[in-house]
Amino acid sequence: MSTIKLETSDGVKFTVKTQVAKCSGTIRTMLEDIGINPQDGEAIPLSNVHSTILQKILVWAEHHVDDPEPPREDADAAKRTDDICSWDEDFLKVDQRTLFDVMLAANYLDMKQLIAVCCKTVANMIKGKTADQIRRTFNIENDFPPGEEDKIRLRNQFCEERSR
Amino acid sequence: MRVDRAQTRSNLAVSTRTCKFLFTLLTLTLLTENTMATVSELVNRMTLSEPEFYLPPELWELIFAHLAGKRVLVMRLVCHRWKTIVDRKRSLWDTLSLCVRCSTMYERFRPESLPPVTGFRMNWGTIEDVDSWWPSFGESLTRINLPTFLAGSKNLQKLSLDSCVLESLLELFTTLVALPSLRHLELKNLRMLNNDFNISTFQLTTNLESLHLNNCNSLTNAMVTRLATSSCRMKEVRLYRMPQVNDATIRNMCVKLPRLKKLALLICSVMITSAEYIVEHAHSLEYLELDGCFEFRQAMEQLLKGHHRYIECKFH
Repeated sequence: MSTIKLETSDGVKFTVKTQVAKCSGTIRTMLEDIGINPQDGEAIPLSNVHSTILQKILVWAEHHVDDPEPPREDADAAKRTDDICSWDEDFLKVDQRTLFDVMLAANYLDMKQLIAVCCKTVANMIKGKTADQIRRTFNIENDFPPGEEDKIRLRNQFCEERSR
Repeated sequence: MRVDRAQTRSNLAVSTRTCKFLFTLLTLTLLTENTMATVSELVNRMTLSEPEFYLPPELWELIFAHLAGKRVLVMRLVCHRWKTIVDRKRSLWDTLSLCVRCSTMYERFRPESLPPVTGFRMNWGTIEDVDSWWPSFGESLTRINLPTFLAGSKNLQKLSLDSCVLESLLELFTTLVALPSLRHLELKNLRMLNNDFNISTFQLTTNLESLHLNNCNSLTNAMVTRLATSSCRMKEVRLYRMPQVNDATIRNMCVKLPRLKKLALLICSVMITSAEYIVEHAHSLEYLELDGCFEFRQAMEQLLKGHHRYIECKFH
């Protein structure tokens, strides 16, 4: 089985099965379109990914390497957040910072399925919370000038949901 | 003994000095370690205090996509950045409407924080001066369903639509039928996406007293006739830049509108033959405005004399 080498931002080299590495759209493009030859033994530099995060991402890719191509879902089905598989759920039981780092790396590596599952996880962290609870969850500072929040809240009251 | 003591003293002194030195070193090291710990902790805290800035807007957009519907309203309360991201992402607002109930939106109405909804619904609301705030709000609206929008406006007396795009004429006709108090209708630059509505199957009856049409090119001759003759109370018809209007339209109006007092036909295709219909059939007509040629004017004057009638004529 062919392998390739990946080098992270902190200089750590990983030897990865090509098939697993190809879960990343970015690496796939490098190999297929740009024609980087993995046989050369040269490591592909991933300057935006730290070794601790890449390690985690490779665990995910290894587990999902044989996943079938996801079906073209309609927009409503894609918006669901209750369909995270239990393995992914456990995998993403990490501190917020790691979760965001995984998301950023997945974005850089163009791993749509991993981004999607991270997005769902973060969305679930937002769901059902008030603005104040959301701020506390993500450590966000309320940077509205005094009174502004109430004004927006008042305007929000004009809104109603309609069927599509 | 003395020497011994002295030696001991000096020994002690030395060891104290060494101790001191060692202690200083230790403190220094400790301090350095402390400082380093504090700095790294600070760096940590600095980044951790704003983890939200960790993710670029496009990733937040992907996250928010899972939270459409009314949940977006909570997210625009969190902070400036979130509000900007949420307000900018059109698809998040697909199912949200602004609903105005029993309130008046007048010139002091401040819409700057109005959610960028895609729909608008009014119940017993009054819009008094839209110029000051509608443009910024209306920008985000993709479509107003005219019948729904005006449904229940049973007291509406005047409706002006400028540069509106309708799905089809059916939308306009359905709206008009549902507005029993409507007396004045003004349509300017009206456009229709779909022109295959068969008007012959639609019974259009209104209580209109005045109709102004300006540059509505998607209305066919038959549609104009249908609109103009939809009410037997019609007193005033102004057609401007409507070249599709021809003799047949004018004949129909003159015959079917017994109360027509004012008629203005500017930049329409009016022929001399129309003068006859006007003088012979529009019995209540008091005022006529035309941009016809000299021959039309002559014909009109002769006809009026022959019929012993007076109509105030204004020729352009």
